[in-house]
Amino acid sequence: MAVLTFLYLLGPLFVIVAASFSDTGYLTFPPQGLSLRWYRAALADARYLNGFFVSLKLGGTVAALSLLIGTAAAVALTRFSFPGRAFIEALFLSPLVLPGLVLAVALTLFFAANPVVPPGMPRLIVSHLLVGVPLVLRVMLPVLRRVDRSIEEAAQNLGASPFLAFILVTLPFLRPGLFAALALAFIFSFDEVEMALFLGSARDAPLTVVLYGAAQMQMDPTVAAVSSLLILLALLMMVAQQLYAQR
Amino acid sequence: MSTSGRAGIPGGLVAAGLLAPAALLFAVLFVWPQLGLFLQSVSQPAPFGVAQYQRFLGDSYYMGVLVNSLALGVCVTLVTLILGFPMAFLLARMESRWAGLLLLLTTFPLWVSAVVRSFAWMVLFFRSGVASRMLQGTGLVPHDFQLIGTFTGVVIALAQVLLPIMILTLYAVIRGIDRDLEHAAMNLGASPAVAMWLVTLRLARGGVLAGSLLVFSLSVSAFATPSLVGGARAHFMAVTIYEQTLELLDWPFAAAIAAILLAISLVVAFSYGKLLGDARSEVR
Amino acid sequence: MNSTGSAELVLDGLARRYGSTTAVARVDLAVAPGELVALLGPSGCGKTTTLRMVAGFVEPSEGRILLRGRDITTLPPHRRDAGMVFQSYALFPHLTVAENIAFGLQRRGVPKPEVAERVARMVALLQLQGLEKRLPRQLSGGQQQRVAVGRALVINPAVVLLDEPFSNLDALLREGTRIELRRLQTELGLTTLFVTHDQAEAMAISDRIAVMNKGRLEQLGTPREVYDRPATRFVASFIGRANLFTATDGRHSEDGIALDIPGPGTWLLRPERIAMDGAPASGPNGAPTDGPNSATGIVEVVCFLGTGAQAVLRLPGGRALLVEGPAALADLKPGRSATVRWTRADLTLIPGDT
Repeated sequence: MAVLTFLYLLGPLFVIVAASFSDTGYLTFPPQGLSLRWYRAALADARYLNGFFVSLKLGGTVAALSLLIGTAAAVALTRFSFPGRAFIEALFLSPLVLPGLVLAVALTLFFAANPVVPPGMPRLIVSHLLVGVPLVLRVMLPVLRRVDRSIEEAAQNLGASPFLAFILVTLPFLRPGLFAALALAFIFSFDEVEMALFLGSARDAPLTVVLYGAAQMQMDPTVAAVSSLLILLALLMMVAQQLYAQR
Repeated sequence: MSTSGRAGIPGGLVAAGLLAPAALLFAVLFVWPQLGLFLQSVSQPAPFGVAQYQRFLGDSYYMGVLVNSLALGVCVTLVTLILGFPMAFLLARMESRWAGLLLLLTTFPLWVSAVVRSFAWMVLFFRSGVASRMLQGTGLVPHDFQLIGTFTGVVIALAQVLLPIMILTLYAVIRGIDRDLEHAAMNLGASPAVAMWLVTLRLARGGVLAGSLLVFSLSVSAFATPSLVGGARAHFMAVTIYEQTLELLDWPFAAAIAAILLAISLVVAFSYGKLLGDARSEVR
Repeated sequence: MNSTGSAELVLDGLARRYGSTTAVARVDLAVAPGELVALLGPSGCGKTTTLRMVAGFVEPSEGRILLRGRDITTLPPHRRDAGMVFQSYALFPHLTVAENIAFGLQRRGVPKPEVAERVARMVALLQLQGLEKRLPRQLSGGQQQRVAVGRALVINPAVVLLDEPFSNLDALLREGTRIELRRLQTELGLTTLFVTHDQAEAMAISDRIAVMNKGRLEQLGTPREVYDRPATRFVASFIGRANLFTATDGRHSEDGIALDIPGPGTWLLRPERIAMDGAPASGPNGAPTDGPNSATGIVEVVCFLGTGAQAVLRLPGGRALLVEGPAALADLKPGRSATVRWTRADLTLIPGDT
C-alpha cells in the first residue's frame, strides 16, 4: 500500500522527466526514442531563459529582503514586550493562512488604483514579500524563543556589550534557522504562480508564468524539458540543504 | 537583553525600529489592499451595496462553481486522508535509518512548483496519455476520452499535489504521541489493535481534523492545478476569479467572489488553529 | 571583616521587589578580599536574585553595590568586573574550549600572545589539557563545569560569582569538585560569592555563610557559628539536622518532655549530642530514667550511613526524636524500646524568631 502511495506521489515527476527525452514532436509517455533535442530547444528559447533569470533574480531578492525584514521583526517580537504584541504577531503570520489568489486579487486592485510601486519586477518583489516575511517569521520565532539567554548573559558578564553579545554569541546559534528561512522564502518565490500571473508584466515574466502559458497552449516536449530541469534544480537544492543541515 | 534599558538606547525605540519595515509592508500591502478588496465588493449599488454578492449567490451557474469547489475540497481531503494516514503512521513509527530518507522523498514534491506538477498530470491525462489509454482499454469509456477537463482528473491531480502536506501534518501529530501510552494500555490488558484504536487513533484525532481542514482550505482556493488539469474554463472559484479579474475586468464582482473565498478560508483557518492546539495539548 | 573600608565587595541595604512581592529584603553584607561567602537557602529565598543583582542582570529596588570601593550599582553587566559561573554553565556552543576561555580576555583587548599564555595556564590549572580544541557538546558535565570556571577566572575579576555551580554534577563528582574549587580559590586569593541550597556544601568550603529565607538574611556567620549558635528557628532546622523544643517554663517542653533548662524559649538539641544506650528503662548505672534530659520511646526507623547511623525514636506523646551516633546504632531493631539522654550543655537557646 505504501509502495503504491509512493508511486502516486512521485510517479508524475518521473513521467515528466521521461517524456522530456522523447524523440517525438509531441508529448508521449512512455517516451519513444531518446533524444536531447527538447533540452536544446528549451535552452535556446529566449522566453524560458529570460523567465529563468527573472525567477532567479526575483527569488534571490525576495529571499534576502524577507530574511532581513522577517528576522528583525522576529527579534522585536521575542525580545521586547509591548502592548498588542500577540496581535501583531498574528497579523504578520496571517498571509500564510489566506489563499494566494485572494492576496493577488487584492493587490491587483490596489495597484491599479495606487501605483505606489512601478509595475513589473518591483511590484512582484514587494508582493512576494507579503508571504516571504511571514515564512521567515514562522521559522525564526521558535528558533529565537529557544535561545538560551544565559549564554548572552555570560558574554555580557565577560565584557561584551548587549549588541556585541547578540552578534558574537546568539547569531551563530541562529544560523541554521536563518538558512532554512532563506531557502524557504526563495523556494516560495521561485515556485509561486498566482501572484506572478496577476502582477507580473510581459517583460518581467517569471518562469512559472511562462511555463503556465506554454502548458496551456502547446503540449510539446519543450515544456517537459524545462519542467525536468526545474525538478533537477529542486532536487539539488534539497540535497544542498540536507548537507548543510548535517554538518 | 534585560538590561537594554540601561545600555542607553531605550528598548522601545529598538523594538520599533526592528518592527518598522514589516509594519510598513503590512500596512501598505496587506491591510489597505484587503480593505480595498472588501470595499470594492460592496461598492454596488453605489456607495454601499451587496449587489455583487447577490449576483453571485443568486445565480445558479456561480453557485454551481461554489458547490463544485467545495466538492473538490471534500474529495481531495478524503483521498489525501485515506492515502496519507497510513503513510504518515508508517513513517512516524519506522525505526530504521531509511525513515529520514523516506520522509525527505515524501516532501520532495513540495520543492517543485505546482505548475510543473500539474503539467505532469496533463501529460498523463491527455487523450493519448497513459492514464487515459488505460481507461480506454477497459472499454468503460469512449476511445477518445481524456481525463483532462474532468472533475475526477482534477481530484486525482490536486490530491497528489496536496498529499505531502497532509502526510507532514499527520506525521508531526503521530510522532508526538508517546509510544509508552500504547505500551501502558497493553500492560493493562488491551490487545495491540485495541490499544491502537483506544489510544493512538483517539489522540491523533485532532491532527487528522487539522490536516483535513488545511487540505480542504487549500483545495477550495487552488488555482494552478484546477486551471491546468481542469481546463481554462473549469468551474472552480479560483479560475472564475481569475477570469473576472484579468479577462473580464469586472473587478467589483471579482472582489466579491474573492471575499467569499476569503471568508471560507478564515473560518477554516480559525478552526484549524484551535484544533491543532487542542491536538498538541491532548497528546502531551 | 566588617568595616566597609577593607572589604572587597559590599552589599549595602540591597533589596528587590516585584510589585507587592519582596524577592530580597534588605541585605547587608561585606566580603573581605579573598573570602568565600556562601548565600545559602531554600529555593525562592532570594539568593540567586541577590547574586544577579551583583552581576548586573537585575536592577535593585533599593541599596548599593560597592566593588573595591567603586559604586557599581548602575553599571551595565559588561562593565562590571564580576566573573560569573552560571548554573547551566552557558558555554558558547560554537566556540572551542580554548576560545570560550579566551572570550573575556579578548573583550578586554588583551594582546594575542598574552591571551594564549593565560588560557594555557588556566587549562593546565583546571586539568583540561588535550581538550582545548573540543566543542562544549563533546565534553562531559564535569569538564564543562571546569571550562565555565576557567572562563570566569582567567580574567582575574574583582569578585567571582558562582550560581549553584555543583548542582548539575552527580553526587560522586560534587564533593571532589568542591574541594578542588576551594583549593583554587584560596590559592588564587579570589573574593567569591556563591549561591547554593546545599547546606553541607556551604559549611564545607565557606569562610562565612549568609543564610537566607523568604528574601531575608537570617544569619551571617562562620560555619561553626551558624551551626552551634543558630540565630533563628529556620537557621537551626535548615543547617544540619535538629530536634527543636518549645518550652513554656523551665521544666517541660510543650510535648511533655522533661527538660532541665534555664527558662522558656525555643531550644535546639543536635541529634549527635543524644546518647542512646539501648538499655531498658532502668538504666545501667541506676541513673534516673525519664528524669529531665532523657526520654524513652520505640525505635521506628534505623539508617546506616557508613560513618555512623541515624535512628528515629517515637515517644509516647507522639513526637519523634532524631538520634545520630556510631555505626553500631544501626544494629537496633525497629519496634523495640530504647532510652536516650543528653546533658544540659547540649541544649542551645535560639535567640528569637522574627
